[in-house]
Amino acid sequence: MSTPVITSLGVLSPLGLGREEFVTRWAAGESAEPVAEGPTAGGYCVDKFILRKVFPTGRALLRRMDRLSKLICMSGALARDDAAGFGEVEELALAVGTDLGTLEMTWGFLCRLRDKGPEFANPNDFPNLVPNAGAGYLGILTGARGPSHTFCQHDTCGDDAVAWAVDGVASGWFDACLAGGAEELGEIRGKAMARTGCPIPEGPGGEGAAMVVVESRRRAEARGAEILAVHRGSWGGSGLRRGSPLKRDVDPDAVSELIALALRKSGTAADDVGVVLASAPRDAAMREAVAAALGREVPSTDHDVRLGVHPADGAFRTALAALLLADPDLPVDAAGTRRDGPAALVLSAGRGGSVRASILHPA
Amino acid sequence: MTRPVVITGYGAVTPIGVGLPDFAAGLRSGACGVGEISLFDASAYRSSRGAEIQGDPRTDALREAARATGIPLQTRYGRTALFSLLALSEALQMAGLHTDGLGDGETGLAFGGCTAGTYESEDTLLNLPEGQDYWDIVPPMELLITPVGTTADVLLTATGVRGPVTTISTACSSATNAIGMGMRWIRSGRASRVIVGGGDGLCRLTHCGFNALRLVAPDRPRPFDARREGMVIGEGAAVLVLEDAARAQARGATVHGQLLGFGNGAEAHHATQPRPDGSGAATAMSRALADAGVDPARVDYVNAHGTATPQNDLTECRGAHLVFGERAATMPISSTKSQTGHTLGASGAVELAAVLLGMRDGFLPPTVGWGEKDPEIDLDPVPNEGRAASLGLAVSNSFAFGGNDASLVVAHPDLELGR
Repeated sequence: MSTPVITSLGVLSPLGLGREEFVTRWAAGESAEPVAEGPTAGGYCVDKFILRKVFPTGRALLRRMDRLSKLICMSGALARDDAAGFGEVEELALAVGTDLGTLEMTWGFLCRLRDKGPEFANPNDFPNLVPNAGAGYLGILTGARGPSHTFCQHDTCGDDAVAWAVDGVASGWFDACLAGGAEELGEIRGKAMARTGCPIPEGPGGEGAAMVVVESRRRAEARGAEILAVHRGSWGGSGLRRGSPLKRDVDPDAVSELIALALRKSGTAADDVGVVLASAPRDAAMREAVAAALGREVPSTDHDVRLGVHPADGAFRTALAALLLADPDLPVDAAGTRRDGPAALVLSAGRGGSVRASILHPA
Repeated sequence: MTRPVVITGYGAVTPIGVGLPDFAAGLRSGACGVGEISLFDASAYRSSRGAEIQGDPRTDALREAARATGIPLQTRYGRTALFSLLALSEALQMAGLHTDGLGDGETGLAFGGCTAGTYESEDTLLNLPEGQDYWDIVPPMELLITPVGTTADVLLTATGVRGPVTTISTACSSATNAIGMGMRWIRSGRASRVIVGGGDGLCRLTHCGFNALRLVAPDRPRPFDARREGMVIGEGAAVLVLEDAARAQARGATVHGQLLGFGNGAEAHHATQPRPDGSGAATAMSRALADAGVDPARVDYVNAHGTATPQNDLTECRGAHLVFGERAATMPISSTKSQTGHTLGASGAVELAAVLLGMRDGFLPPTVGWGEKDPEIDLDPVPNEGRAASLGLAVSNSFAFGGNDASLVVAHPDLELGR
């Protein structure tokens, strides 16, 4: 068994592009500026970025690319240019999580079909509508030809991507993986959230992308890479009460049991968990589950109110956990609270009942 | 030492047969499920052909399977969910399982797909009355069933599964990747049983998209044929029950196949076009065979991705030659999509079910509509009807947009590999 570690990360968030800007603003207790008006009012969006600056040879490809794929590729480039980068890319695996995919572009495609007829459908748009388009473009731009998956299980999709990377490295299936998640906030998502009364997940809407490089400790040490955190594993389950599959109705007992399983399997004492990064940190069921499993109030990140939430942000929270473990002085929240133990719990639960609990340790 | 993984149940809902008995008969006889699309007006498209599941798929046999296994046959979540629930019922019944026994935390769910409730959610938008604002009238249910993960939600609720759950959406390789995921969960001890598969209903979005790309045939798909012009979009679902072999044996389950290997790779080449040299296809097959620990020379049959597009079939043939050498020229390599249409995110599971039926009943699934050899495609496509043969070891391929290639290696339950 190989030990999976996180060595680089790329964060594209409403609170900054790239590790340095994000950490500076996070450490200063800043919050992103919410959108003032329109269907996404109150939500948080990523500042403009220019992908061709980081992939100068792929201009024709970039012109065809949808915005979600650009978010994914930009965060991949940020991970490449962060710290130790990818190392050898030929066998690099890719894992991306996205629940809603290219919702905005899909809507546009269907409206064009309705308004102008099928003969006017843009053939360049359709390939972008599949959820794995972003992973495909990232492979083309980086040259990564290892195994590749795209996960879409609602609010655990970003966690699923990182978990797959960790399992793949631990079992020796591959030696390194660029893993993360992305979601965009646009007019259609905003309107759909309003119409369904179903924020996905709970909290102000956000967007962004985060990718982490997960590799074996042996590979990282051989190339002299800085190890930000050790990923001790991720455990998934269903915490759904048997009701409607379309609602977010998590059973706190089931979530608590899953956290206990993750602690046991990762060899982590509950007292060692010094920070919780939950998908819905203010949700009563989640808070109850965490308190029951850890037996005390543990510092929890306030990312939800500072930069919004989105279904794939489990990857972002994994990246943030790695940063918090690499620097004990980095505050957990805007109030300046520090983690009070060496390990981090990344917890996601959402619509459909899927739950994931992941444990990270310091290097 | 990895844990051997076996298949203890499977079910399929396809355009050539709803339920395994009809699907097997359709495969063997060379049936073709392609016809004029009736779900929506397709007259303005380049091709109006599709492979639909006609009528109400809730046959008496599948209703009985659902009753016997405790699966509620919900219809309000759309066609994709209904097809998937029916295939699930059949798979659980074959495996001798009831939903009462699936909430043990040892059973997981990994599902693949692309369209979920898209067909239903298109209705209001595309039939919007003049002067109406879509957002004022759209039923929230139409929006909620659109995300691709919804199908797994419905299966999760129906089964009460408490173990790991995920949805993989890698276009046409979705189900194959989901099956590979389930196998890896069992091998690594994450679960001892995983319900896997894929489901996709036909919709305007995918039909329009493939038409726009000019990847569809005007009449029928003719994989590997010199006259091939493209695919026809189909619909369906297939579900399999994977189990740790020791657990299956302990409960006295009948084994219907051994799932030996899974391979996947990114082509890193083009959004829609495969690498011309076939190396992407070859990588997926080679990785699956290496994962299975079997020599390519032992493979009896390949169930091809076989979309019938000019590029796919040529590069898949080249990939087969890279993996199997000169033997590929005489090796049976057929396309089930010639019968079922391209069931997209479901196709990997539907086609693995076809392979298992061939293993069970002693035949090779055919490529129908084949009649003219392409001089550049040197293989045996098993033309037009099932061929009697003892099928021991097979590879099943799925290649997708974004350059996502995946292959599975499966063996007859009685085959002893002597590895």
